[in-house]
Amino acid sequence: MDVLTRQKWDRAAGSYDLMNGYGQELRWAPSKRRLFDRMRGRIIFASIGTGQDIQFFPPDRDITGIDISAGMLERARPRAAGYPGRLELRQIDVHELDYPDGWFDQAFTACTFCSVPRPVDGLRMLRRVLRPGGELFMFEHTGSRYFPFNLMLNLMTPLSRRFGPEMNRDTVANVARAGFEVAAVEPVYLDVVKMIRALAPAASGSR
Amino acid sequence: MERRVYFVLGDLLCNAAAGAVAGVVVALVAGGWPPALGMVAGMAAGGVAAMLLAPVAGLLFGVLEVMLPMMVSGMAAGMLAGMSASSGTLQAGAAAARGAVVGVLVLAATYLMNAYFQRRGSKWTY
Repeated sequence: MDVLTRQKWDRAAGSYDLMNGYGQELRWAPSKRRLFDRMRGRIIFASIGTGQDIQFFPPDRDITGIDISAGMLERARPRAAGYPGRLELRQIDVHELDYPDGWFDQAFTACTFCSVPRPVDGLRMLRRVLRPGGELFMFEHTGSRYFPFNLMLNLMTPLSRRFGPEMNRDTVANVARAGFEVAAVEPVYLDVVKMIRALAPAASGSR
Repeated sequence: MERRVYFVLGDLLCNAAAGAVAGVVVALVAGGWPPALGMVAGMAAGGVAAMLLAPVAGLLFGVLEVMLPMMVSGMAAGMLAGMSASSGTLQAGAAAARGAVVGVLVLAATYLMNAYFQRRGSKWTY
């Protein structure tokens, strides 16, 4: 397990809900509800954090929520306990998933691959545990292609990565690099916050 | 495009405030500076001032959607205030009013850009 990343998010866990809570979740609620309404079959959710997104999950789903941080999961447990369906929480690094190939039907992420240290490797691991043709749904903030937003996000990243996410990643390109077929990219805010739908190809069983 | 009244009013308030604060800060500091220096320093100072305000505003209205336009508002208002202050005496009240107007204009431009991205992006149809 990546100890530095785990420690970083353990430290952030105490203030995470305050910094990313009311305003951000209210702002993103309609988009996230629409995204999570697509949950079907056996689902892996990486990374579930403090469980803020659980409120948007449709009921009666079979979800495994993973996170690298025990501190985050500790805060997620009460929310998971109130979920009207099957929701298992596990502390595990997305780079080191120990599920069999093709175990899940769908993978979901929400503000995850701004922080995973090796995003393409993490996405490849998600691809491995998805069945052939399985779906990856992401709600992510990324860098921008447009001035002045690209300049600002690039300037902020050296500082932000010390405490939390990177602000300038090209997550759509990373999804493609990991071997997924990018099916749709829907902007939520400018070209910075977006929802991504991608498919694991038929040969997803091999890494 | 954002249509919820809570967020539209919040965005307006945040950007007007960012522009006003940036304008005042720069007007107080950059008086009598060479115009080019006033403009560049004003832009930088305005951006920093807005960046410091944005996390607080983000608690209520969402960090990313608030921070990006607020920083542009701060930079633009700071740049304008820096140019004005270097060419003469700029009162703090006038700098605040101009900065607030700049902030609202920047927000309007951001909303238009956002509408463009929404129109251009792929929609999920299944």
